[in-house]
Amino acid sequence: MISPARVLGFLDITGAWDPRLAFVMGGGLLVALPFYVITRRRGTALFGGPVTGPASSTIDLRLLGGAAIFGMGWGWLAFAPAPR
Amino acid sequence: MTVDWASFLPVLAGGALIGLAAGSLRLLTGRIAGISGIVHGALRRPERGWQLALLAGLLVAGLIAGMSGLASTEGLANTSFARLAIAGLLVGLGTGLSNGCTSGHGICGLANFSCRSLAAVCTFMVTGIATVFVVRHGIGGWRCRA
Repeated sequence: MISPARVLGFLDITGAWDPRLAFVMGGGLLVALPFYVITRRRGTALFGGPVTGPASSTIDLRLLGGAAIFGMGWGWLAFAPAPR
Repeated sequence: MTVDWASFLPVLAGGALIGLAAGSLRLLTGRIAGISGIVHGALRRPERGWQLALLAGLLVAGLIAGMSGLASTEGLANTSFARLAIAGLLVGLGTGLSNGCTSGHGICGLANFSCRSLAAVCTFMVTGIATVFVVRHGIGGWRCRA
């Protein structure tokens, strides 16, 4: 995820599209999912801590605006020049 | 597509390791492995050092991977400070406002079946793709130098 070329390949959907970044996130999600489901069912963590929830549950302008801004920074960084 | 399919295996392995890290953090301590959230938290609301421990582990692992040749160290080496600063500001502001990033929303939030995270992921994907498109192709005759 830190390779600008890899990110650029993924985000440049009208160019030579490189879907591999989606497999990083997808692979991560698939593996994390059972842990999250198990933790939710247990209610407490194995070491006894509380199970933290998300900061809020509303989809508001702050969330969407923030995500939009993050995406812009992400897309901008994708153009970092390759090593010479 | 111009990808080498053999390179998918390390990609999936890397993703699986991220998932294992996030999943084990959740099961062992109940916490959410949203890296941006952890960085924000470490700076604003430090809690008994777990954030620093996690970030230290993340950095050390990356260092080992790079130095051992396991991971390519290409990347941001030749990036101008200005680009890093601008992108960093956008990422910091955006993740602070939306309480998450690709790991926080994209992996942990979706693993929690969060609609909020789904909305966030769709949004940053769209603006990420749009940003690349606009920089690449310009918009309405205006072009910018990326």
